[in-house]
Amino acid sequence: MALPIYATTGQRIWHYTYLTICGLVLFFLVAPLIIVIPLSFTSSPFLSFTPEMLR
Amino acid sequence: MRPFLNFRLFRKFFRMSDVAANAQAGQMMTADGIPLKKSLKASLRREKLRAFGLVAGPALFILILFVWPIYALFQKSIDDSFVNDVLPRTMAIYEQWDGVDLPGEPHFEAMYLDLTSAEKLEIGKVSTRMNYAKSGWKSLIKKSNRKFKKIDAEQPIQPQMIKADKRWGDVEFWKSLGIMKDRTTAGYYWNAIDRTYDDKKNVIMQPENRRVYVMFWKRTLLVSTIVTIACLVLAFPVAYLLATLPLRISNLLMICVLMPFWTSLLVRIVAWMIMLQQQGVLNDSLVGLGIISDENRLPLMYNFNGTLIVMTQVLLPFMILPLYSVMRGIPPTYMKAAQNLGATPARAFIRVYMPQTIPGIGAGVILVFIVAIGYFITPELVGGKDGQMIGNQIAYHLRKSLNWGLASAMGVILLSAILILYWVYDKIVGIDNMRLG
Repeated sequence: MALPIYATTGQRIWHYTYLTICGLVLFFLVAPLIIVIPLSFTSSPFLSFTPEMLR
Repeated sequence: MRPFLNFRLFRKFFRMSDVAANAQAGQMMTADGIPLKKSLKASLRREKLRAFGLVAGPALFILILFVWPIYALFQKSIDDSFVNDVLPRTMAIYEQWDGVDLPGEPHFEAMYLDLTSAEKLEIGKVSTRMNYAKSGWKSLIKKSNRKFKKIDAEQPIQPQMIKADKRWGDVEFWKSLGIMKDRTTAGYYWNAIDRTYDDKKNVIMQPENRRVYVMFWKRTLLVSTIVTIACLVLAFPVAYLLATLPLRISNLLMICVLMPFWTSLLVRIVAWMIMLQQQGVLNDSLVGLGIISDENRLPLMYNFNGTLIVMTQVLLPFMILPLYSVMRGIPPTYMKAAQNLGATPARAFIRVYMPQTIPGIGAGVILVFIVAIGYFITPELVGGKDGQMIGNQIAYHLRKSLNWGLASAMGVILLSAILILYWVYDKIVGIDNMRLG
């Protein structure tokens, strides 16, 4: 998957765009799991982010 | 499938030896004097029994857990014997009525006897069924049940019944009984696509304000199609990346795909609710960054968008995994060879690489689509009003309105739709072309 040294500028741009797209999709997949972790420490009775969480 | 295969092989083998034995009938004998044909047959029977014994367990399992429930579902969707069972006298002489004027004394008497002799619980159930044919039946029967105690069975019943409730004098109610006189009905199926019977059992459209299901069917198809396409578009680059990266790194990234897959569906849905609601993480971030103003927060949850986004995320692994397994099997040298022969990378990708991923695409598309078309829990939780699908209607009729006939009919339609799609898929792509992993 590594970019060959002879790659043109266009190919370079596409390569990094492609990697970004993949990163975004993978983020889309794990985002709900990431968000749940801090929320499980919430002190309020509702599912909300509180300023105390930042401390 | 192994036992079946062996069974077939056995049969083929022994049929051939039968032919051989037939050719020399009367001459071939075994050592202990039994004709060879007979001896072969005995051993063949033993093999057959053994083969049958091997498949008996799984076959019984499939029969009890798959075939029987589906048969029961189908049975329920066309069954209409209830009214006949509870109101036998009324239904027996119903044919004698001309269907124009108010029915005569015998009909009223039969109805009176049926309603007073049946069990109260049964009456309640049957009045619910009759209410589907014409609304008003339920309250009429309920009220009559109370007032019928005053009726003097010695006197003519007709005027007393009409006195108890004047709706008994309404011909429309008597006419609607005709819809229920057969023991089976296609009425639930018509109902599931917004049609109904008039009193002569012709199929007509439902009144304008009661047409809902066609919209739900259309929306279900629309959501499933969009989700399938979105999954394919999102999964393809990721699967390609995972398949072309060295195993060490791709296994690490694979965790990102498998983690949501292993997490409870409810946890993921709740997390999406937190992220996408009006005061949620995404909207707050966008407002904080100044991309959207505070009044124009994006409506992403409890509507059509919510259903789409969450379903796409939930079903994405189902698309990535088959695609990945197919792409892993494609030798990278093909692409290199194509480029060596003068194809640009894009051309090599489209002409050489893409066609080889078809089995994975097919498997992923059919898997995602079939799972999506019957989806229930996600639309229920995040769909709000305009993100509901037909699965929610089935659940509603099973749990709330208790119209199991209609729910079953919808289930059967959904099942047949899936089978038809499967058949179409087989015709276009070919099932043996599918690789699930």
